[in-house]
Amino acid sequence: MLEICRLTVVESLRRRLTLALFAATLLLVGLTGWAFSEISRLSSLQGVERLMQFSLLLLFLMLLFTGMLALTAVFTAAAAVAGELESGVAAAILARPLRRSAYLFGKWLGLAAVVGGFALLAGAGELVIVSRVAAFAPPQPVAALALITAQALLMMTLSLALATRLSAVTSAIISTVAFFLSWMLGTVDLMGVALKYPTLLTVGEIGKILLPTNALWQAAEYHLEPGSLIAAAQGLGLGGNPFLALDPQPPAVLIWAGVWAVIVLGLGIWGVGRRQI
Amino acid sequence: MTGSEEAAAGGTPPAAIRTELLERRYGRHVALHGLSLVVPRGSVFGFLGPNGAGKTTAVKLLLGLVQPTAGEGMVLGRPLGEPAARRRIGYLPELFRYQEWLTGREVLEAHAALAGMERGRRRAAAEGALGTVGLSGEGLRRVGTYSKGMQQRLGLAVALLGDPELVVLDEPTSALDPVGRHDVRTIIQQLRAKGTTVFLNSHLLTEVEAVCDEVAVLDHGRVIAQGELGSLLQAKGVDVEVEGITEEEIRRLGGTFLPPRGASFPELAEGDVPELVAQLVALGGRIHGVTRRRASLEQRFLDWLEVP
Repeated sequence: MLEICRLTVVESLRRRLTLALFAATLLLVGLTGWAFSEISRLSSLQGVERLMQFSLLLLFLMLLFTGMLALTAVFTAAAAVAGELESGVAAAILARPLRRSAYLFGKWLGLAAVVGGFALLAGAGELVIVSRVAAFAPPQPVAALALITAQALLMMTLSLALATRLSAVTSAIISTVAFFLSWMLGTVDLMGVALKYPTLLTVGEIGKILLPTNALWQAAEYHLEPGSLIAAAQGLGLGGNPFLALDPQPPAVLIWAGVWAVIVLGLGIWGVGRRQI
Repeated sequence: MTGSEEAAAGGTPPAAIRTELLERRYGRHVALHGLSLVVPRGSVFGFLGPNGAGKTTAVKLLLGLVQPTAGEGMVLGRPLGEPAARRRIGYLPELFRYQEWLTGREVLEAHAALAGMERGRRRAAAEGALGTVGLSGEGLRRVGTYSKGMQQRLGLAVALLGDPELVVLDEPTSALDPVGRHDVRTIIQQLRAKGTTVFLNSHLLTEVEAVCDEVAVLDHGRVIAQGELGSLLQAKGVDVEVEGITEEEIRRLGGTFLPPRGASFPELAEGDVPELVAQLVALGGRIHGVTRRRASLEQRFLDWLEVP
């Protein structure tokens, strides 16, 4: 299993995926630094208004970042698993005394190191550069980063599981569609809360159960928002806004996200176990 | 207990491969129909058949890469699909593909690790295997830069890594030139000399005829012939080089005169050869040679497949 993990990391290095992700990190952090520095220089807002302006900008930036992470995770995982199974490379590997569960879990670990490393490095870079150039730091950056990384790992797990039975392109596309559906259903859930409409709430809950990535984003979002922003939004009756999280996610949602990952990885192991190589 | 340990303990070592009515269906299509095989340890076993006969499916079943829909089997004394059995098996797939972003030596070291070899032995084992297949000096090149023939040689090195007890070769010379094919024959003969069992899946009959002790022939998912190669190729009849005897005398003995000094006895059974020689000598014939007829594998193969 550890050998498969090592090979997966080496593959990402040799195929220059790691290099591309590192370059993307530099570009992201550089552009973020430049943009926030310009906004900081040109903005005439002060005090709470300035705090709200930068916190909203950071939320928007991190929302885009999570989308980019999700795409990176699904395409990396799909190519790594389906590519190897379809090309015949896996036939020689699985003819060794290696259980298929160990093969897939080794792949998961290696991909988690690459995707998780990118999420943590680029995410931390974003938050650090914003705090340096705009003197704005979210209240709980570590918790927010951990949740954003967890979201990327969930997407990676889904794509990896699908790729045990489907082609790389199909797995990546299904996972991407699922990610945006989760976001849409999360918005439906917020609307249900704001409008107190039970049907919308039910649909939103089903969405959280099927794919809890948006719930993780909302949890991360809450940790990125200053208390003053939350209070102001509540005062203005801005509940139901997909760009704001006014309440923390209950622990059960976060626990379910972990259980969901284990179940989906288990389905992936079942899928690769039954596959004819 | 390994096979050698069982032998040392006085027990009969199990066959390298034993299958009972092994079957694989894909929906309504039967890829392999009731395969029952016994491959003795230490033999070079040829698995023949035309394209699409089910040979590669059978190989994948033996290695646990495909699950049977019926039947059962043992490989090196362990049930099919059990990872522990694969510890002592080397495998060259028909569609050999290795990580093109690794060097040849890294591929071998990775396979050594996956096979459970201790870290300290992997480098030497990889270098040894590269040398055996004629890739010494190429181990530090990326596999992506190898020619197809070199990749097949690398696959053979992967299969030979760590002295396995059973080597499964699926069309091992499909990408090789005549020199490469000769090298593979030599390697197979060396494996036989070491007591390694070789399961050779091929449709190249001359290759099989040159190295195999036993064969099984598969067609449309069914075994249509199986046995020791010499017995399967044996044919009735002898050709005799003889002089001092007349055409009429040859005809009376059931033969046909082949000028200038030959005689053919196509219906003569193997056990009747001494009697025939004695009769020819009694009639005053001087015998220069007696040759038992033997069919070529290709001829037999076409007979088994009922190709006119």
